[in-house]
Parts: sequence; C-alpha cells; structure tokens
Amino acid sequence: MRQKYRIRLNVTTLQTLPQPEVCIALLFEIAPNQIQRLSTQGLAMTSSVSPGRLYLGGDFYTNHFEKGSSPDTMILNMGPQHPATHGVLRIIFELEGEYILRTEPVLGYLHRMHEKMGEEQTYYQYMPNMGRVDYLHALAWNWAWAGAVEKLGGIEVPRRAEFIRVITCELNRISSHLLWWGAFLLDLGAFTPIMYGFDDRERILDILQRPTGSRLTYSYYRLGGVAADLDDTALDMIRDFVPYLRSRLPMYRDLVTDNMILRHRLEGVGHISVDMCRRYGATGPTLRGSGVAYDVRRAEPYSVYPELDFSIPTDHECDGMARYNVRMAEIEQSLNIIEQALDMLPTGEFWAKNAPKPKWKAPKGEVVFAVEGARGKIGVHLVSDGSAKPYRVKLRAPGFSNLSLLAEVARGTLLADAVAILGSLDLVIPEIDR
Amino acid sequence: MNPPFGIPPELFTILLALGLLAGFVGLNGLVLVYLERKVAGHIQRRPGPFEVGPHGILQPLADALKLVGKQLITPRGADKWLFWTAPIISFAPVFVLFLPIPFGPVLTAMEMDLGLLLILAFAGINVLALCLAGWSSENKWSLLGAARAVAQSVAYEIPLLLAVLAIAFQFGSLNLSTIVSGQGAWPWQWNIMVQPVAFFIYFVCALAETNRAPFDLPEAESELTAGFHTEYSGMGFGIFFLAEYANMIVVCAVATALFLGGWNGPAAPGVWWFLVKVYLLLLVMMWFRWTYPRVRFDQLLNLSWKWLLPLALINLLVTLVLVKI
Amino acid sequence: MIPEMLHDLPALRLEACSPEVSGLTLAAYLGPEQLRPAVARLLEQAYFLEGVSVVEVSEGFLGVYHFDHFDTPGRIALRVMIAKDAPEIPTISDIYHGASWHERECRDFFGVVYLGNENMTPLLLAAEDAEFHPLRKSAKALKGLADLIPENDGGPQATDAVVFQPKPDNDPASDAPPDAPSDASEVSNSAERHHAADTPSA
Repeated sequence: MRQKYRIRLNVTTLQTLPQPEVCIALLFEIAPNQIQRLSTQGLAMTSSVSPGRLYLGGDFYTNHFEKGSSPDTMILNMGPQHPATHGVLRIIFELEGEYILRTEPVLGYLHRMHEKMGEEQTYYQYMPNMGRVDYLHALAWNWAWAGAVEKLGGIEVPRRAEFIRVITCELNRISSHLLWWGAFLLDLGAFTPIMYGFDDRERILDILQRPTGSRLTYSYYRLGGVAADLDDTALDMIRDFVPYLRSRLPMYRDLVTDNMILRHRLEGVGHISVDMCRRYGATGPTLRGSGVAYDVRRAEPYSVYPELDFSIPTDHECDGMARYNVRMAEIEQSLNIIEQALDMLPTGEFWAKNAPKPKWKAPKGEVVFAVEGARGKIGVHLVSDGSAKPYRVKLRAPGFSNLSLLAEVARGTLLADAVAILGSLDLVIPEIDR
Repeated sequence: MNPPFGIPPELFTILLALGLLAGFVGLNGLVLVYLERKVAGHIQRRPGPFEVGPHGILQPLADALKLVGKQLITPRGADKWLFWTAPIISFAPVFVLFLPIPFGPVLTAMEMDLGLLLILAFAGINVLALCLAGWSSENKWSLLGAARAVAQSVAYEIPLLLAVLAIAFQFGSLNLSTIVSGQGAWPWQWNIMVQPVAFFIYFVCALAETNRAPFDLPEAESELTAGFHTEYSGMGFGIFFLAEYANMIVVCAVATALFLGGWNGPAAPGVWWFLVKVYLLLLVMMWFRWTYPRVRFDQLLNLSWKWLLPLALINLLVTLVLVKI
Repeated sequence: MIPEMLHDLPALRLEACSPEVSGLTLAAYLGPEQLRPAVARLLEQAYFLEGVSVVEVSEGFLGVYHFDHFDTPGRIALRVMIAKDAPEIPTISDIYHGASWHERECRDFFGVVYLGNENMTPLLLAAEDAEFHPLRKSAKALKGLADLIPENDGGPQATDAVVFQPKPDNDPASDAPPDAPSDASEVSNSAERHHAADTPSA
C-alpha cells in the first residue's frame, strides 16, 4: 500500500522521463516482473496517451478517449453493463466532480450486421430480422421492410391488410411507449411505474400474440399483406383495451407526470434545439419535443394514414419533460387511430392473392421507404439488382441518430442528468447497433 | 434480578440489554425486509414474496441464508483492511444508538441525561463507514457514492440537529424518557402538534441521513450501479443492509419519542404503542421509497442548505422566544 | 420536383425523381470536391441529415447522403462516386455533426475513409477488426451502377461515365437547371413516371 502512494506522488516527475516502467523500476528497485504485476493492477504506469494521468488499464476506446483529457479529471466508464444504459450501451465520461466535461458513447456490443444478412437472404427471409432490429417497436420495422419491397416491386396491399397494419403497428407503438415510460422513471429512481407500465403492456402483448404468434420479436407483415387475419376475438380484445388504457392515462398523469421531483429532474434538463436535431438527424418524439411537428405518417404519408384523423403532439420546451409529454400524448393519439381504424376496417383478404412467391425476384432499382417508429423515422434504403436477394440494404435507425447528439447535450450537466437525458431519448440498443 | 459471577449490576443490565437489542435488531431486520418487499409488492400491484412459507413469511430467512452463504470477494486493488472494516464500522454503533431509547415506561436499556446527544453523536459514525467503503473499493462508482454520502450527511445533520434542539429547549432536557413523559396520551397532546415544523424537518433529514428514497443518492442504483457498496458481496453487503434498517428504526424511534408521545397512548401505555408508532413511521418511509423518483444531487443539497437550514433556525428561534415567555 | 432554392446546387448532374417510385425528390451526382459546398447549402436551407451510406458498385464506391426537410418534406440524395483504389471522401461531419457516426459506420463496413473526420475509430465493429469490411463484395458479385439504379430515377446514362469527373465548367446544372434532367427522363422513359415526378410534394 505504501508503495502505491509513493508511486502516485511521483507520477508528475515521471512524465518527463522516457519510459515510466523503467523509471519506476529504478526508483523503487522493483523487479520488472513485479512492475508487470503492478501495472496490471493499474498502479504503476502513467498513461501513454495522456501524460500525467495515471494509467489504469482500459481498452482501445478508453485510451482513445483519454487523449486530450486534463490530468485531474476522472474518466468514468458507464456500461456496457449498467442499469441506466438499458442493454449494452457503453458511455465514457470525463468528469470534474460530478459534472460532465466530455462524453462519448461506444457502440457495437449488440451489433449483428443486419445489413449483411439482408444481402444474403431473400426478401421474405429477411422479415424476421426486422423484428430483431428494434424489439420494442418490431412491427414498424416489419412495415419499413415490407413497404420498401412493396414500393420497389409495385406490390398491391389489400385494404384490410393496410388497416390491420395500422392497428397492430399503433398497438405496438403504445406498448413501446409504455415500456419507455416505466424504464425512464426507473432511471430517475422511481421503482413502481414500470410495474404499472408492464401491467398494461402485458394486455397489448396478449392481443398481438393472437395474430402474430409471438410476444416480442414480431415477424407478422408479409409482402402484400399480413401473415394472419385479426379474428373477432382479437378485435374484441382491442375494443376492450382502448377505453381501458384511456381510463388509465389520467392515473398516470396524477401519479407521475405532476410529481414535483420528476418535474424538477426533467424541466430544463437536456435542451435539444431544432438546429441540433437537424445537424444530428434526430427525429420522432425527440424532435417533436423541440416543437417541430414532423411525423413520417404525415410528412411522407404511407398506407391509409392520410384517411385517419390524428394530430401530431409537440412541445416547445425542448427539454426532457417536453419529450416525456410528447410520448404520453402520442399514446392517446395512437388510441384514437386504433379506434378509427377499427371502425373503418373493411372486409376482404388480408394477404394479396397475387403476392410474390418466396423465390420472387424484385425488379432492378433503388427505393427509400420510411415509416414512423416509436423512436423516430425508420428508413430502409434498398438497392436491387434484379435477383432474388437485395443488392444492398441500408437501415436507418432513429435511435442511432438520436443517440449521436448525446455528447453535445450532456456536456456540462451532472451525471444524474446524463442518465435522465439518455432515458428521455428512449434508446433501444439493438436498433442502434443493428 | 441478581447478576451471576459478581458482575456489577449496572454492567449486567447493559450486557443483558445489548443481548436483547442484538436480538431485536436482527429480528427487526428480518421483519423489515419482509415488510419492505410486501409493501413494494402491494404498491406495485403484485403480491410480493409468496413462495417461502405462508405468504412468503420465511422469505427474509431464505434471503439471509443466501447472503451468508455467498463468497466474500475482495476486489483486486482494494484496500483490504479498510474494505472489510467499513461494514463493521457501519453496524457497530447501532447497539449504542438503541441504549437510551425509551421503549416503554420502564423499558429503557440505559437511562441517561444526555441520551439524545449520545444518539446524535454515534449516528454520525455511519457516514465514516460509507466513506471508507467507497474509498477502499477502488471503484469509481463507489468513490462517487462515498463523496455523495459525505456531502449529504453533513448537509442534513445540521438541520436535523437544529430541529431536535428545539425540542430539547422546550423540555429543558436531553433525556428521551423525560421528553416522552412530558407528552400526553392523546395525539393532540403530542409534540407534533406543538412543533410540526420541527417534525417535518426532522423526518426529511432522517430520510436523507438513512439514505432512503427519494434521497438514496449514495447508492442511486440507476446512476451509480450500487454506489458505495457496489463491490461488496455476501454478508459485506448484508451488514450494510442490516445497518440501514437498524438506522431506520433508530430514527423512527427517536421521532416517536420526540414528537409522537413515545410509549404514551390513549389506553394502556406501554411498549406496544411505541412499536406501533415506530412501524407506522417505517411504513411511511417505505411508501416514499416506492412512489417517489430520486432527486438530483444539487437539488438535494439546495433543499438542505437553502430551505431546511433557515427553516430550522427560524423554528429554533421562535421556540426559544416562546419558551422564555 | 426540385425545390427552387436547390436549382443551382453545385452538382455534376441533378435529377428530378418521383417520391412515389423511389422515395426521392432529387438526386444529385457530385464530385468529391463539390460535396461539402452542396451539404453546406442544404444546411442553410434547413435540411436535416437522414443518413449516410455507401453502395459498392463495380465502378467504385458510391457514397450516398440522404437529407430531408422538417417543413417541406422531400428527400434529397447526394451521391459521390469514388474510386476503389483510393476510397476517400471529404467528411461532412463538421457541417452535419451527426454524420460523424454514419461515416464511422461506413468506414467499418466498407473501408471508405472520410478525410477530415477527427474521430475515425471503429464504431460498430471491434477495434481489432479494423481491417475487416464485411459489406465489401467479391468481384463476381459486383454490379455496375447502371444495373442497379435505373436511368430515369437518379442514375446516370450508361454512356455518361465521364460525368463522374470533376468538371465544374461542364456542369449541366449550372446553366440550364431543372429542365435538362427532366427532359432527358421524358425522352428515355415512360410518361407515367414522369407524370409522377411532376406532382408536387406536400
């Protein structure tokens, strides 16, 4: 132990000398193998990239991040296993006390190279991948893929299928927002809301389980329709669910939204300006929380959304509370959409008779198709060479762009604020890493 | 009762009391673990533990067994001695804290005139344990937790002292038994009616001193993983846990004695009234924990320095003036 | 249709596209040196960055930049062709800060280097695999650009290979803006698609 402190005291004198290990060996008459042991314990070396900073091990990314840090700050590594990063996101902070000077997210811990898989699979085979890109709003990704291929191939979708897609996709959006709501409050230290959120979300999963056959990673949409019809039981369940959730929302507002501590934690925290959204490409509730009424369902209308009456909730405060309010309002709008779609649901086939066969070859061409996911604009850029497999698939994940602005937003805030900001961005790591 | 082996009677009383208190603290730890999990469960619309024993009543025993059975791991690079001393320092003062607490009209382990002072003095040791635990873990999250613990403890000890001081001036005594007997049987005869501000300040500070939500910043799970006890495994963690619950009982017991009439009650005054009041306060603490989000650190300090401290000072001044009149 | 303010976009070639067919309203082929002025122009016009990607074709790497607008939606694609042997594109991460991650992702997947990006460390792939680029295709699997992107909806004519040489003087967009590409598409392709291209976007 005494050695440890002596070495620390001498760090500043060592930085002028060439090789810290040799110097320490000379100064303290320690055998080289002992130095090795000390340095693996993170005790003996100054950092090679940042002179004066004690070398504490760390991998490629930490060492890279350390460049340009000042010696008396603390480099803190959050994740990839950390309660607030919801999965395997990793963020490196440079802290002065608890204030954040710099931060850099490190991605790739859940990278599965979906884009490569897209090039190796047929158009139908790729659909299950879509349920795994963003497991919380899987149906939006289903739709992005189905829509892109349908646009490329000029495939007609029956009208009933369009309405089924709207209903299921909006249900899925609500379930995603409910989970976000619980997890976000968990980040802020409130343990109970997530149980309430899960309780209601459970009912949505039960509903979606009927037609899709799965509860999380849906692979339900098909080229030219959906895989199964919504039967009467499912429709009744949805009809029951809509007023039920609507009656629950005021309770959420009373219990959580108006809580003073919550408001103090969120108001004015994580200010994201419209200009920042533009430069980083942030979309979805993050953008609408900055007061821009941009929603792909209106901006690039697809399916039957133009026929449905709903508004785009916005909030001009640009802070965490604004994003919170937008998402809560979106749940109500989704309920409205579901109600209308249920009333307008036509009879007919749910999957076009002349839908493409499994070995179907898409025409040559390029197409970009976007849908509105729970986290923002989901885009599929598809290039086809006329064979049965895509030539290039580029997935535009909203979370990727939303997270990229963290470094700018979090600067100068407290560590606890960074957790609040992360939560308010509603991150789903598999979507970011793809 | 005649002490055996020629032990002086005072020493024997204290030893007997300590033995009983050890049992009480241990048993209470189990009860509180069960209670906390049940309260959390019911607030969250689920039954809580239900498998071990009827209504899961043996769950805390299973938990304790699990904790005892776990391997004790000292992280590489940790300061071994400090690391394992910290949980002991955190738990040791707990027994002393219970000594002057008047559980019943005659049920006080040690009558002393400076009982309140003793409690306040020994309660301050806990922060040293948290600080040591965080520092010696060689973990940055623990270090942040320790830093938070120290700042928070210092900030909230002062308004807490001032709030308690108001009561001490009012009764002219630091003896808890005297203060309890100065209050009547009925709720309107209790101190909380005379000193509501002091009670409010005391309770808020007590939450902060015991690191309970919404002031659980030193462990702040979603920010600092587990704060100062991130690196502790098995009973290392278990002792911190037990100390936290024991401290909760102490602050609630003191609150009961100072503000809620202690063992006084509308009928048949005695230890049961005391326990009922203590457990009601504990339930309120649990209720807070499972409903509120956590405050941010600067907000926590602002609350203490900018609001509670001036409020406590004013309350003390007003009390002094009224006492003199 | 091409928004008015983008008629004089510094581009080798501007193509009006139909959102109903390809999801784009405008595709612009740029020389590498024209990219940054064009991107700066888009930021001035309040476009937001939708994504940066690369498509590998037999001619080289086609850098694809998608932009869209919050108030007047209409996706714009900027395309930059770079050679295989020197895969370098100037960065736009200092103009659109969010592009930095997209560029790092493209470096991971294709090995394309973005000159001027301060942080080109691997993003999604491990640092040890920095030289492994999973989306590179074998020579056999590669297709020509003209085979992939149809002529009318954004692709250059097969004979227009010269169009990728930086020739600001010859820029068809600078003298006769939107008509030239529109006319070309009218001549070469179906009236239906052209009709779609003319319908104004919301």
